[in-house]
Amino acid sequence: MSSFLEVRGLSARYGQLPVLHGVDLSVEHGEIVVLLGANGAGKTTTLRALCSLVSTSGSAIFDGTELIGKSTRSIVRRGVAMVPQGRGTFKDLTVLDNLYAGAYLRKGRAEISADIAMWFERFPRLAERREQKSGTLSGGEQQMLAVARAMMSRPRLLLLDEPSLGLAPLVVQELFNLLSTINKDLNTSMLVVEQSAELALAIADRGYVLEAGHTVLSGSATELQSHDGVRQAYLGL
Amino acid sequence: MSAKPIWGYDMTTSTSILAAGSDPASILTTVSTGLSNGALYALLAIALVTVFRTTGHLNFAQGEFAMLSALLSFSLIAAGLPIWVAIIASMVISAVASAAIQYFIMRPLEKRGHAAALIAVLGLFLFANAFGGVVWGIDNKTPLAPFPDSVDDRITVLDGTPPFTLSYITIGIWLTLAALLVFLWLLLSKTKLGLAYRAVISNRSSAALAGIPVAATFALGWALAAVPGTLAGVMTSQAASALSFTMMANVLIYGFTAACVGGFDSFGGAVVGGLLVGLVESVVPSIFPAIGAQSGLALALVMLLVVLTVRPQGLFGRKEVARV
Repeated sequence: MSSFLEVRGLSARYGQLPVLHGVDLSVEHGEIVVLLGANGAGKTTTLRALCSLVSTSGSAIFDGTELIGKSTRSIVRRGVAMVPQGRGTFKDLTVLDNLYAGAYLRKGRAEISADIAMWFERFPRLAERREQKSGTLSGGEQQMLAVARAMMSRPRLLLLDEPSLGLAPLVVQELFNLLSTINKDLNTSMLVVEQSAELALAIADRGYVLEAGHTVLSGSATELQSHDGVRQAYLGL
Repeated sequence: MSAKPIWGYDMTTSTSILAAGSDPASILTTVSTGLSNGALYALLAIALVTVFRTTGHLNFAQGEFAMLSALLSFSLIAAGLPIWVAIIASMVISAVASAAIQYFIMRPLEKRGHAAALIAVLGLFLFANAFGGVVWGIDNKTPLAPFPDSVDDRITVLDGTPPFTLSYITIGIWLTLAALLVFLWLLLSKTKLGLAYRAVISNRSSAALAGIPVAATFALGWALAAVPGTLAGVMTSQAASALSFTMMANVLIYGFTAACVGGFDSFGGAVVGGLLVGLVESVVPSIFPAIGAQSGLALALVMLLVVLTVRPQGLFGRKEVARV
């Protein structure tokens, strides 16, 4: 039986510059998978390739359908959402409008409103600031909003690109706890690119290490935590 | 004050409206003329701002598009349509054409950088201008008259000799501008289309990730500009008693100045900028007769120079902030 997301030989290029040379990975239903690697290894590009934001070849079967070659819009419609690096909130829009924009492809006002109420319950600080422009939020609040906005499309697979970037350690801890809760409550599978390898591996089921556009290592979170190379390169031990 | 000649003009030959003995009616007339012209500049400025906010292009052809819409309205009226039906029809046709120009000409070209897009816009300007001349001829047509325009079509606001009156044309232009602002506000803040438009302007890659069709929204922005653009063309035709392929050349400069003064960020800024440019054009020569009533364009360019030097982002504009 094939995986929920099965990526085989994924290659991507920016213009003439190839960045990925055949990435293989898989995400099972309900799993959190972390993607580790040095700067420039192709982690971000892997996520962008899955959303058709770069020119891509290879194969990425999600829930039985090939994503490569589809438009971003139809990929989102199939249940994939991404929280890009640097939050990617709509800074000139209110918190509320950010969430409505996240639900752009959905129909049914009542359900959308119910979802917004649910996310406001999970993130009370966003509820307090619902009429504020999101650019006025703190970094942590913006990251929560970015997650809530991505979740508004009711994705079954959430891609997160360095969610901890630029956040205080306590906020990072809170964020990872929230991701773990969302994963358990809503059964949302996640593929997380992270520099904070330690915290990410703590909530992840499995992980991959990318090097120069290839998958070079894979294993369960516990295996990776005890792997010498990973410990030296990413855990600073 | 001493009446010594400045630049060869003798200040004593004509009197300032602020001089003793000036009647309030002439002051009010000067102001209302300024605000009437200013509302036309505001309409064109709103069109320029709509496009700029959407795709970041200064569409120098916007005035010529407005001219083509006015001429198209003329032809539709000649074909038997009632005037407002003809105006709405030209608006729709102009919107579709603008969207097509964005999608098929600007979109492929902007990938080649700012210079390509700028040259394309200048090309559009020349093409639209020539197109107007070739299709409709170079002679002046009968100006459009969306509002009643006989000598008696005016209301007296202040009795006296002379009285202060407002023409139906002036009132019509103001009401049109107000209605347009209400329309834009409703469209942008109350509809899903408006949400998509604002989201794309705010962050286009996140908009794409939310499933918003970015390319179509860009085309929509250009289409939307045809609404104020067509109104600007039609009403300039009546206010300036002109209808030919050259009618919008100066108005574009005023409209561009208005958008720069207000800042390219907001419709409110475009409106204030337009009214301000109109006021300066009308009031300044009346206070300082030495400047001469024909110096409007020079005054606009001075305003443009001052704003670009002192406050390049415009009165209501925000400084360009780098996005992460």
